[in-house]
Amino acid sequence: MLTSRSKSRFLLVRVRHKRSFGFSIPIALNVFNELMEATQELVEVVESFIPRKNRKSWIRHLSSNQLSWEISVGGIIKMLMVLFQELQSYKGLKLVELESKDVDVKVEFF
Amino acid sequence: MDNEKMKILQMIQEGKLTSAEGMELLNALQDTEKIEAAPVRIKNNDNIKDRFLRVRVTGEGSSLKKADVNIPLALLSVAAKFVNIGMGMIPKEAREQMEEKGIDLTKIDFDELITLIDQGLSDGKLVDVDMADQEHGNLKVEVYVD
Repeated sequence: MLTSRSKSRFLLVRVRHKRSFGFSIPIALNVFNELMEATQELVEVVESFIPRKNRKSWIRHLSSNQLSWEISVGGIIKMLMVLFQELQSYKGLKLVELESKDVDVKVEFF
Repeated sequence: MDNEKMKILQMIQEGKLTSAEGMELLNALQDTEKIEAAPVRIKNNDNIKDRFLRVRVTGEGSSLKKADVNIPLALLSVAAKFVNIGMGMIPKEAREQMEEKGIDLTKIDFDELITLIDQGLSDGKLVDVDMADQEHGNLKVEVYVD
């Protein structure tokens, strides 16, 4: 697999059902990034309007043993964005390639 | 190195050293030889940018024929940033509880972790499993770094 460190422009999701159909979804990454950024900002605005005592219902609780911590929805989106942006810097990366009896799935960066 | 070994043996012969002391010195020399022979690995962050954690599953006679997942190792560095973001979200009380138990997530050195993965695996394989099942067919699972 050849990858270059230039920025990918598209994410291509290919799904092919061997007996009947197949489709490809090209996702323009600049549009996707803008969408994620807008969603994160929107969530942060909504979160800031939620009264403090109700905010906990908007927050996911993760617990391990007696310890627990809170992660806001905006924070999770921010983390995903950072992760995704790192992945975008690998042009030509075949992230997932799956072949089963009936369905083939490929997720690639171009 | 051979000269040094000869000297030790001579000193034992001459009675200047006991056999136990001589043995200790010879073992120390052997350890030095091993360290000198080991390749020097330089911690280089640029190197990890071209390396991937790969998960390969191949199957015969099973419903899954092939699965490839390629994850850039540099994502671990990004994970380090997540830890710092996550630490900011941990409530003060919980953070104090964790510190009391000696847990400090910010101290995880991902560069060191990557270096250890790099050095610890001669063939780069983390997982290599072969499964043979009459009902579900054969599956081979490999997780490696290259």
